[in-house]
Amino acid sequence: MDFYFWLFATMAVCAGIFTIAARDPLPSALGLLTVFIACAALYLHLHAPLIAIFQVTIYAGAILVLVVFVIMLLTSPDERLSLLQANMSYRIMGVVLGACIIGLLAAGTKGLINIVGSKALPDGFGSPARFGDLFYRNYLLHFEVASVLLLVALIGGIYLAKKNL
Amino acid sequence: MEGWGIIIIKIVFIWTWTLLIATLMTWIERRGAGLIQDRLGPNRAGPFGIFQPLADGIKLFTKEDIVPEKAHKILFALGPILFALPAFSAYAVVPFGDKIVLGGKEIILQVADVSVGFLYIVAIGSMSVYGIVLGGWGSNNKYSILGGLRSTAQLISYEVPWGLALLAAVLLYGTFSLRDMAFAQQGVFLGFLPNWGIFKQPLGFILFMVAAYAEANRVPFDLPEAESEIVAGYHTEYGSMRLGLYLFGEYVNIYTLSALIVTLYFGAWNLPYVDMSKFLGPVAYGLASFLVFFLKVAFFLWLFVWVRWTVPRFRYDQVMGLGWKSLIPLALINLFITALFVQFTA
Amino acid sequence: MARPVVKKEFSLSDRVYLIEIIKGLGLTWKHFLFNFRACFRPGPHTVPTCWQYPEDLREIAPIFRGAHMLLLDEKGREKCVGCGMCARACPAKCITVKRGKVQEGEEGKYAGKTYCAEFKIDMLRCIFCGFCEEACPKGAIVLGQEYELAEYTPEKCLYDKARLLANYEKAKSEGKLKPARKPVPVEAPPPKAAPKSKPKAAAKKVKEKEGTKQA
Repeated sequence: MDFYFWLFATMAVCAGIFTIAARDPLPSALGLLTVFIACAALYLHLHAPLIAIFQVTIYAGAILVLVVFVIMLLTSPDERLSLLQANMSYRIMGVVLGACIIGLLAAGTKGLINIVGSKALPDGFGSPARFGDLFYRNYLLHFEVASVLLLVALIGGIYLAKKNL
Repeated sequence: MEGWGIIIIKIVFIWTWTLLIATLMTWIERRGAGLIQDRLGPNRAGPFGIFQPLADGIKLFTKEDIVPEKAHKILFALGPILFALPAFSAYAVVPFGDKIVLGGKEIILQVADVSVGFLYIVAIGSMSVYGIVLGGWGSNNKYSILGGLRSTAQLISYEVPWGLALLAAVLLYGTFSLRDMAFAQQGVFLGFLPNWGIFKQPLGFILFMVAAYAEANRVPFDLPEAESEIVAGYHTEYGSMRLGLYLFGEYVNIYTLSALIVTLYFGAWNLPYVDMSKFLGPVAYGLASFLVFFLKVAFFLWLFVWVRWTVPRFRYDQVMGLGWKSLIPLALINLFITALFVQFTA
Repeated sequence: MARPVVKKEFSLSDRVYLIEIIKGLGLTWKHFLFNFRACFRPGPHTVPTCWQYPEDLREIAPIFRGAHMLLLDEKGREKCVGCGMCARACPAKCITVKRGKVQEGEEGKYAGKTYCAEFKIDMLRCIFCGFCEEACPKGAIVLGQEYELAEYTPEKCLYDKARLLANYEKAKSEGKLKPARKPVPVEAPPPKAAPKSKPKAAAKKVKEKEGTKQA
């Protein structure tokens, strides 16, 4: 009975449900923040401290801040999301897509139980040194492709935002 | 690996110590501000006003807690908590001295020496944005929202040069752990200069200082709480202990940032040419390293106050321009030079 | 006279701004050290730009209008005759005076034939204009130099005769009585002199005089 896992897993699921069901946009964003923090705690539990730090720094600390920024700029404190949420076609589509995703996940993880067991982790698993090693030797192409993707996004953002280039 | 009891004692010690320093900082700020401005600060509550923080604390605790009528109750209450939590927990990985031997056990003067070291502080620092955002939004006051927005933009803009300056330091020391960085700054290099970070990374130091001032929302970057322009920015509607949490969180942030500056660039607890562990006993050495570290941090705390009353506040577009157009290119150049330096001397 | 606007170009040290910050830090450090040493010195007026109130007091002009007092003459008799001119003159209507006839045995206490049986000033309404002082025919009420008049309850701010006499005793013992105001001598208007100017101007003036006389 892994108390740590169950605590953060239930926290993540409850926060996820709160994110979808909240009336106001900003508490919904806060629910997403809780999901990210719970996931980071779970990554810590899986001996991946660097991924946990990246989750908090990048996801919760930059991307979600940008989302919150947009919410603050474009909505007023009295606005409710109920108008969008009341749309019947959105709800039906949400249920259908949710069911499809759950089905895909279930199909994908069906055989996982047989593979995963308790294993001895290699030495230095999850440490920054090992991480850097893998990143810059075995997975260098993936790293460079990700940076090109970010460059493309940057150029797109500048183009959209500037009035006269 | 130390037992749970010792870790809890260290946590409690650090928590009380930072709170104590935060209260002392309120006194230093007010006296220092007064003396710089050709007046005296508070000097009636005790000799030289030393009991003024106590009076302020009592006032903050006993004032009526006013919540605006149309404010979002939960967000309003959550703002100060989400601001103070990262402030208090960021100090966990910063060392405050070398080891001390008590009762036969060797205790390192750091709450948690994790392998990811200061990345934890970067993560926690990026979380402190939420306290300001929620405080501004939950107050239902246009000045607060403005202050919250400005502060958010400023904080996330200055995280980039902050992180890049730290990255250059990581490149130099080859480790993320702050304790190992402190060890790497012992001795001398080039024969006569102490092996401190500031001599090897002067540009990085300047970048880190400027970004630290922006991260702490202190003048010249204190537009979010610009007292004469948008009333008090994101903490306009807050009174009593909620405001106390904001103010104390800010001072604890300042303490953590000063401790980081000292650890990365000024040799943590190492004295310039003297190795204290050679001639002091284990307990005395622990206390001496704590004292040396604290004196260096105290200088930087005073520097925060000193700069506040010297430099006028930057305008918002100047702040953004400085962050994106000046500091980030300089940080990248610093990273490049450090990489060359490390490559050719390794 | 307007001065032309000179557009000052920023030098390199200005643009970098760090150098200017360090220069500014030096300036504030000088101020800090000066005031730091000053606050350890004993005695009043240690910090020249900031006077610490109860220890450093400002010099009061001799004609300062502070709290009122009822005067005694050289023989120690009360000057006030209870005429009520001060109450009439007061713009804020804060003085209440009741006149009483001096009884047989009390000649030594009062200077005149009547005295003020009741003399109340409501200091919370008083505007410290000094009209009562100017209106008094005997010079019995004067505005003194006392300005620290705060009390804890409003009832204590309604001064009665005993308080006003006590003010006088206190001021006398502290030596803060101001000398009596001498009446300002009014000069007699100069006699109408014959015009010594040119004949044309003189003729004009004579015509104006006749014109005004007729009007």
